[in-house]
Amino acid sequence: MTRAQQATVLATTRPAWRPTLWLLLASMTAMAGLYTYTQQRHMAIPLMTIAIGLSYLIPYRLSRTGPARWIIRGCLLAMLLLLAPDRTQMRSFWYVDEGVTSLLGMLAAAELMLQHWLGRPDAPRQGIMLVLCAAIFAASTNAREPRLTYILAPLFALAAIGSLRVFSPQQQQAPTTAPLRRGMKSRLFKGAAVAFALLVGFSTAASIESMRNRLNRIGAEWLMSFAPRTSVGMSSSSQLSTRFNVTPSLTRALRIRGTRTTMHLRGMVFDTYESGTWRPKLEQRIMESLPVGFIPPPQAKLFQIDRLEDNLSLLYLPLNLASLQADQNARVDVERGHRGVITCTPEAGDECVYQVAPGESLNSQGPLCRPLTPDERAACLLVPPQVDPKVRDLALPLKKPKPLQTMVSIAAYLQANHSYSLKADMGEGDPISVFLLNPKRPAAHCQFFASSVVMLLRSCGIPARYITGYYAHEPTSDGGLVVRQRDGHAWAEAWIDGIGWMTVDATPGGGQPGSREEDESVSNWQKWREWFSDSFSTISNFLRRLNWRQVALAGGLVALVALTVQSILAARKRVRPLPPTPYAFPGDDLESLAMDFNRWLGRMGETPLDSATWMEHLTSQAEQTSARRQHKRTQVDTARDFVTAYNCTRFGDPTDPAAIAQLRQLLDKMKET
Amino acid sequence: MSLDGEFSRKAKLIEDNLGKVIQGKSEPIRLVLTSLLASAHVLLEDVPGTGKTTLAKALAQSIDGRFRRVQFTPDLLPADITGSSFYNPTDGSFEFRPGPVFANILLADEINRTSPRTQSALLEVMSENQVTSDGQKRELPKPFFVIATQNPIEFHGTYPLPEAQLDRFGVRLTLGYPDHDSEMRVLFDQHTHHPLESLKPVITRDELLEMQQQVKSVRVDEAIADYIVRLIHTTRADVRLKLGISPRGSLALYRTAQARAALNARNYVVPEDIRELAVCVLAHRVVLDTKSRYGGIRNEQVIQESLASVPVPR
Repeated sequence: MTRAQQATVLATTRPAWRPTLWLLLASMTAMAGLYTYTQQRHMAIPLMTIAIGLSYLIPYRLSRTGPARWIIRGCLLAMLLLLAPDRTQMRSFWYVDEGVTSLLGMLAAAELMLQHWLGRPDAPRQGIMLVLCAAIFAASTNAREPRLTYILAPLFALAAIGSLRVFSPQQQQAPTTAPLRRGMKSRLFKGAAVAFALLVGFSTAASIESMRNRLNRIGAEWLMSFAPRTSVGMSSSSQLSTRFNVTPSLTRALRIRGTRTTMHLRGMVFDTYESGTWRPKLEQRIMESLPVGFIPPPQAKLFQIDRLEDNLSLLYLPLNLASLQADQNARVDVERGHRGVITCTPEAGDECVYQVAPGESLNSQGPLCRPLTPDERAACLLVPPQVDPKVRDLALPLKKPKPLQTMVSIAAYLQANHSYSLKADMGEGDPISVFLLNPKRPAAHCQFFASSVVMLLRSCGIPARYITGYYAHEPTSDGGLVVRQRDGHAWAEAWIDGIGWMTVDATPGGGQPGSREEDESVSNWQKWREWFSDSFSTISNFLRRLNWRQVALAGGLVALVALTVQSILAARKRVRPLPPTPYAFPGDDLESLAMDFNRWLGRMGETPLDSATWMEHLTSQAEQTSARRQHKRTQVDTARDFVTAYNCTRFGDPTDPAAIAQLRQLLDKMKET
Repeated sequence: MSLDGEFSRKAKLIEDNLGKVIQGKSEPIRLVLTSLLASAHVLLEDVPGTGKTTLAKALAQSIDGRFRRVQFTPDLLPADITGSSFYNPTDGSFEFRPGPVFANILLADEINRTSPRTQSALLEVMSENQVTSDGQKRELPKPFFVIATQNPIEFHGTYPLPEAQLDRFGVRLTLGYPDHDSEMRVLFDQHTHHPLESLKPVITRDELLEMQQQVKSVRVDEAIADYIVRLIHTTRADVRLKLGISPRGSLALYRTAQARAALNARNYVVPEDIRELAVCVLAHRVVLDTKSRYGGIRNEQVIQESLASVPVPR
């Protein structure tokens, strides 16, 4: 048997265009598991399963060299990302995150489907497909129905172990000798393999069941370490405690584009002080819809703020705000009254983008600087009885003829007499009174400074309110600012007759990170992570805004570019083509003889392939003809004699007319019989 | 000078002589003989102990010519093969002492155990049948035939042969393990002594040269040459290959096909000659790209696919 024939025999054992049926079983089991896990929500999974099934019936295969497979990969990825469920519905953590797990499983499923449709399923390729099946199955083992896992896991283990047969040496070598008769040993081995597979499957299912809760807890903790959601953003009310309300982490809260001016961005505004706590709580306030529309004042310098995370849905704005435009799909509410707290609830997630036009100067009076009504003025002048009366005595020397001077002298007094610390232990009593009156002049954080300013201003007859928010000061490489959790700050606002509301920040160092002892610099790793996250959200936001026509156009352009690149690469490797019509015959007689003989072969059985010689064709015919069909065997032998004689003339001496005439006679005789 | 009955008789003598030593391997023996008659060097590649060296030695002993054997080791130097000049103190001159390549049949045993530098010393020897030393060319004796053996490159202490040198081997073939009956015969044949010890030359050097000349007289039709070129062309256009087959490869296929035809007592080449020889003459000349190599594609498979894609002349 020649090597070519050996290759043919090998190829006939299984169609060359598809992998083993074991792999089909493994793929189907894994897909069924994934569909169960995703609670039958994704129609893409049954569609992909059907596509895998069809790949076993249709012999067409995609090219492994052209750009088509990459275009299909891109389309599948886009489809899955678009069909992926909203992350806000995925707050329950399983292994890590339900949404992430199912998305990863579906991506592996898409790749598996593509691999089924690509040609040449040799052993390494089938190994890759088996790994993909395992990834899909691993993603689906957390199904909510444990009984189903008990059925699918042994089935999958059996199929996976069966698929490993493709790596056995016997499968890869050409059969050079007759196969041995299957003995008892072989059957026992097979039985042991099946038993082992089922055992592995059952024990896996049992392990998953027993480990499920533990794994879920580990996954949840791991995920929480990336997103400390409970400590993000401002508190509903501000309590003067030993620690600052906002956890000073490097997590980003806001991203500002279009300005590098440092600014106080106010979130919550309080005017009522009760026993160390500023009120009212956000839930107790009366909110109303903000009038829609955005008319920036002429020559206003616009900037954009991206709110990345916040637990109260607050909008952080400068006091001198002139106008505001938030996302049209988001619900924006503003508090009735002078405090003017604004919240924004987007359709999904925490991310909210809004544009801000500040006033012409720092003291410009915009919608957040509404004049006080008599009741509000009274509230903003109230020094509650729990505040020690000596505070009023402390304030009197600081009072100057003009309110603005008073404000400056109070801030200067606090900065000169108190130092900054994130930890503030005031002991028993009203925290503000202790802070201001303790002869040791204790150090404290910004909340104490801000509250003290408010009380001292009120004692001097100047209406004041207490603000919590962020102090934006950290520049970014793209000409904007970034605000982190550690930039959380508290300050005061004072009403100065003739000017309006003004910001008063009496904290030493203005609350900047450099002035705090616990601050740390932002590492390169943190910067890289933020850059990656920003790039991803920019791309996904861009894709979300596209309509179908634009997607089709972009797809067409990508395909065009891919084809162009492919053509250029192919042109580099192109070899000058050979003339298309091969092998001119030395004479018409020989050509007609060859044509006639070919037709005769066609009538006798199969027409020979162009890529096989007549002799090879006749040899395979003789092998296929049983010994009982004597007539057919005689025909084949005669044809072989003819081919030998023909070759002798055709390739030995094609100019011999006598030999050609003899060949013609021989062929005529063959036709007659 | 055309083929005659004497050609077949002598060829049969060599074949029988080799058959006494190597049992049950008629096809590889015939391929080695084909290469010898086509003046194409042979590379035998297989695992140790399958009879590569024995076959090479048996071939050398069957021809009454000068035989040299070089055992390639990692510390072998080019001058150890080609020869070098020595200072003669008696007359103060440099005297060239020829190396083992100055022979009719050179057995390069385990050629891939030496460094590529030393392997490259054979480049000029194999393609131009000469050695250049101290600026002087020295012709090798005729006929000159290299039969090299090598272990698969996965084995310890082996270097891959450079592409340029692989291209200079006309044929690469493997012997494989003998079947059951042949292995039994091997055991009994070596019961008292090795059959190689009693092997006698069956043809002379001049007779071999004459046979090689006769092979060149075998007719190759234009359609057959066209078929060879088309076959070679498919490998150059194959995207899976980093390197297709050179014109030296097509020439080797042309010449070995002539030798095969002559061994089959034909004075013309038929397409079957090309198809039978294509894999062992061409497969070692192509270089797969990384993706294909790790994708499980083999050189032989590429050549077989080329054979299956090019129409055969009729």
